Amino acid sequence: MLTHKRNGMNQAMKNKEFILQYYNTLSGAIKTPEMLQQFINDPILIETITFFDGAFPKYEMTAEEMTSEGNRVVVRARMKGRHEGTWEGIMPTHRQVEFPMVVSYEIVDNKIVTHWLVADQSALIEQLGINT
Amino acid sequence: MNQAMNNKEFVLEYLNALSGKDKTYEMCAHYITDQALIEHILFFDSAFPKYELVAEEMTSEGNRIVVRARMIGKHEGVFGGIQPSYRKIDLPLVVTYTIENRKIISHWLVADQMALMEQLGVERATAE
Repeated sequence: MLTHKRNGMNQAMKNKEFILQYYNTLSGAIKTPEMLQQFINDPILIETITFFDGAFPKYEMTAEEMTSEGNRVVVRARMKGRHEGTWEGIMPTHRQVEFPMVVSYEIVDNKIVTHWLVADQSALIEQLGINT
Repeated sequence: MNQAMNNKEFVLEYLNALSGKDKTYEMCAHYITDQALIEHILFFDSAFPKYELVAEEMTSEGNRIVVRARMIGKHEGVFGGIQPSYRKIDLPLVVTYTIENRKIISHWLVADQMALMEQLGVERATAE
C-alpha cells in the first residue's frame, strides 16, 4: 500500500516535470509540428496550438500552479503573445495580450494523450479592443 | 491520499448542498470562509436563481482540489447591467478550492465569459 502510494506520488511528480519541460520548450518559440509531436499524441491539441501560434506567433505560456493526480496534470497558466495573424475573423491588431487559462493534460509514457482547456475569451477580446 | 479523498467527499457534499437551491449566506458560510467566494456565489444566485453546479472531474493534491464543472441556470435577475433574458445557460468552468478543516479558505475560478454572453444573446461588435 505504501509502495503503491509512493509510486503514485512519483508519477505525479514526474508528470509535473514533464509538463514543465514541455512548457519551457514551446514557450516563446515557433511551435513546429516536430516540436509538438515530441510531447503530444493528441491531434486536437496540436491543431489548437498550431492555430494559436499562427495568430500569436511565439506566444509564451507560463505555468502558475500545477495540480497532479494519477496521470493527470491540471495547469493554471498565463498565455502572453502579440496578435500578428487573423484570429476568429479579426485582422491582426498587433496588440499585446495576456490572459489566464486552465489546461488539463493526461500523460501516458511521456506523451500528452488528451487534454481539455478553459480560457476566458472575453478577456482576450477586450484586449484586442473589441467591444462585446 | 486520504486527505485528497476527504477533500473530494467534502467538495461533493458542498456542491450537493448548494446546487439547485436558493443560496443563502448561512448555507455558504457552513462550507466557506473565503468571503470573496461567498459574495460571488450570492451575486450569481441573484442573477441565475437556484443555479446548478455539476462536477465533471476532480483533481486533488494536498489541500487543493481542482473541479471542472458546468454551471446550469436561467437568467432571471440583472447580470452585469443585462436585464433578465429568461434564457437557459450551460457554462463550463474550472474552480479550484483550498480546503482547511472542512472549510474552503480560498479559491480561483476561470470561466469563458464570452460563451456566457453568447448564451445570453449579447452580440459582439467592433470598437470603431
